[in-house]
Amino acid sequence: VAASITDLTTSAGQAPAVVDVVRGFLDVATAAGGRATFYNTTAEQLAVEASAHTGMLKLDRGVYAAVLAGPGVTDRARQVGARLLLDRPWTAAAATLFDEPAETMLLGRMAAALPVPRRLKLFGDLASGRVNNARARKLILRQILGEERLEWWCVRYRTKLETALAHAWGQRTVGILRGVLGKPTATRTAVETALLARLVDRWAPGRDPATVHECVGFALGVEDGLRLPLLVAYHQAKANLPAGARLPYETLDRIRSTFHRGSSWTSADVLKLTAGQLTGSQRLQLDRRAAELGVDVALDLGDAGYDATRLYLYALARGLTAEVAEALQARAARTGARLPLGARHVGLVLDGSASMAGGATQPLRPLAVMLALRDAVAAACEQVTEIWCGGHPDDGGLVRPAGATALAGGLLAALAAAPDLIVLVTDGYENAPAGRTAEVLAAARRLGIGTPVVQLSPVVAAEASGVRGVAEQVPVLPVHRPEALELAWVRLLLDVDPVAAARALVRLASLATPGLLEVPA
Amino acid sequence: MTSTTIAELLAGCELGPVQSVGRMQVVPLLADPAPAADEFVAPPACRTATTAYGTLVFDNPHEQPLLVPCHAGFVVCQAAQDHAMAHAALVAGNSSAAFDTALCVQETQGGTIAAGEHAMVILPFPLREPALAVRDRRGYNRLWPAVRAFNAGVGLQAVANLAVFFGHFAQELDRFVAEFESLDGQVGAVVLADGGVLGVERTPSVAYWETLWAPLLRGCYGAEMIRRQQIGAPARPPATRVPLDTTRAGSLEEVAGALDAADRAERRLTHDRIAEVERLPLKADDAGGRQVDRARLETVHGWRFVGQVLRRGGRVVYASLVARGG
Repeated sequence: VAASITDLTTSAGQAPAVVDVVRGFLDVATAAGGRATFYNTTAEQLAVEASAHTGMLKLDRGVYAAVLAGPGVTDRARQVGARLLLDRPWTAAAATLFDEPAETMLLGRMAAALPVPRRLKLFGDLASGRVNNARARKLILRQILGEERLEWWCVRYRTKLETALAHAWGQRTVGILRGVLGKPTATRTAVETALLARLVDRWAPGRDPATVHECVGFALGVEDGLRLPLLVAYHQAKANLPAGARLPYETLDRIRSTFHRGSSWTSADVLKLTAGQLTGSQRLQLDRRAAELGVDVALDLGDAGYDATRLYLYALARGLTAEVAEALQARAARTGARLPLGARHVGLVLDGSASMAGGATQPLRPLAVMLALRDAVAAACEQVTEIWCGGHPDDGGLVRPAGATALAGGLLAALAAAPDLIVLVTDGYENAPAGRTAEVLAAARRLGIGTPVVQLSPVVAAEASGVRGVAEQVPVLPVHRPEALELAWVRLLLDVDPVAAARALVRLASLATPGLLEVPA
Repeated sequence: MTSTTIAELLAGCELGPVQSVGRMQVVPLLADPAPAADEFVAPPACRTATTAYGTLVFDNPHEQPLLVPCHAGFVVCQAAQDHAMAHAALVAGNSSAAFDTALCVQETQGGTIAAGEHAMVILPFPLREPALAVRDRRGYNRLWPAVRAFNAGVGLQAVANLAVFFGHFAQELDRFVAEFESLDGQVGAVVLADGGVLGVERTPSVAYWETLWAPLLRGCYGAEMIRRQQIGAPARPPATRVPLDTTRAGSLEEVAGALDAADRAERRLTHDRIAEVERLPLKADDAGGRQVDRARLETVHGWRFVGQVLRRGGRVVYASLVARGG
């Protein structure tokens, strides 16, 4: 393992190009969301993303898979990576870290780590992209048929499931299965039972075959003889909406708009009916609406599913309550404990300018990421000096983006506090005036002040050079969420010690792949 | 005909802290207190269409009047000929209006624009004076020679098709838009390039400004920065930029002093440059068209600037002036 990484980063003459590829990939894997930002269109983002992924895959398939299976990469990166790995057959020549079964196992872990909608989107991408090899089919069938909550998936994502299953089995087989599963169990022939065992049961070891059969039949359109509670509720809700109270909110609301059009039932009624079924993320999303309607959808802030960025987005929308602040503190302590900052004094210069408001599709996300990063870094070090540039405090104890990007004064104030490290958290688009931060840093260096300065960028811009740096002499790291900080440090290390960076990459990947990788010394 | 000055057009606004990137500088116009009520709506919130070559139609479903900013254009993803206005315009609340003085900016494409809330651009800076010069005439193709010259000037095919320009330089323009930020209370800006005042933009409210700022940056001033770069205009820091001089600084406190001095000097230089032009006389003509809710458009022109102004009850609520000879 160590040898291949070392080869990767020290090949004479190739090292700078190799490091560029790894750097570009890490920028994308830790920050790109495939969506428009304040600065770039979706198409531009997608082009950069595709180029970074294919570049890294070509460079080293094993490192590519290992990083994507490790912590700190975005769900989007995992989704894109899994599709790419499935689309391009494994070959011994391209592999350095894993044999094919190990890579397949990693792929399974990558897919399982994705939230359900993104996982099904991956399967949909495989279908639309006609990626239909044995590994892809096996992955889809194992992930769907082996799923513990398949019944819930069926009512929530019925169409997506049908698309994925049809892709894995083929339309002809699906037609046969639909016919078999539409028959009462007692009337099925031995041949039909054997067919179900071969096509369905083998992918769902340990699951009740009758339950899996009913779910698959439902996903393929069979609604006769239902007995599973959620499937029955789905069927009955078409005629009697309250019968669907145990269904997910979106599912029942879709039934309402399709089968109860013209009735007096409203979306608000559906929210009241399904308040007890809301998932954690739905509670965050629907909380404001529920409050307006007087529906109790109390948040469970102890749920590890809400990361700090999402909690800050919630707080920016609804206000920072003591409960949310406490949850944020717990997240920061957890993330901070993994950062190697130790007993250091860190100067944090935070860009609160107007651009931190983000794009229309993800408003305030850069600000939320920045606040979460601030908390994590502050929790990781012994002392922190926090300096805001732009932005203005709101009544709820948070900051709202405002003003131009003038970081030079903030950098000077941070330097004056004599910290061990200065972290600039900014998108790098300085304008008051452009270049002033670099001038101040150069002046400080002339004075013999060598305090290391790094930049964390809470957005990724689709530029050839990756994210925008505020000064040439300041290493810049894109960070999408605090959980990616470790990977960001690796990215920083790439600029000064590529071998150490590569080893650190493997160490991080090993955290998610116990038993598959050895951590180099 | 009456006379006015830029100083009069900017009455009630203060100059804010300068933003400088490359050869361009933006001095925000801050209204204190910022107009809270939105007196006028901007085109993206209304349905726009062309009903014939040279005729732009605006459907305003809002209570407030629609103010179509000077040289608003619509470059659409339709099999339709892109068009732009030759002047600013007013449309009363809850009504529609057609303007048959509009300009085609895409000679290579036929078809009319279907009604919709289309994204707006403002014509590139070098086309704005020629567009204003033909504002009272008819004929959809009267800006074609200027568009052809503009495209040729930036190294593209000499074709009267602005979509070619916006497509070719899309990435540069996107990045350019991102360089500058709106401030709290901002209702306009004075734009400088290479140390000279290039344009003056004032809008009725903060909300209106936030709608107009990106189209202005992308279409008008961003296009001019690209043109200057493409023709090889020297990209020296403008005379209104002040580099940080720390040659004699022996401590961080002295660097801080130098930083403060540089920022103050840059602000003074840009404000001085604005002061040089704000007293220049401008003649103001009634721009014609219907008076809407006591608001009336004027066309202003002087030896340095041309543009249009909207007054309501004698108060200036909108002004868009560009330097001549662009």
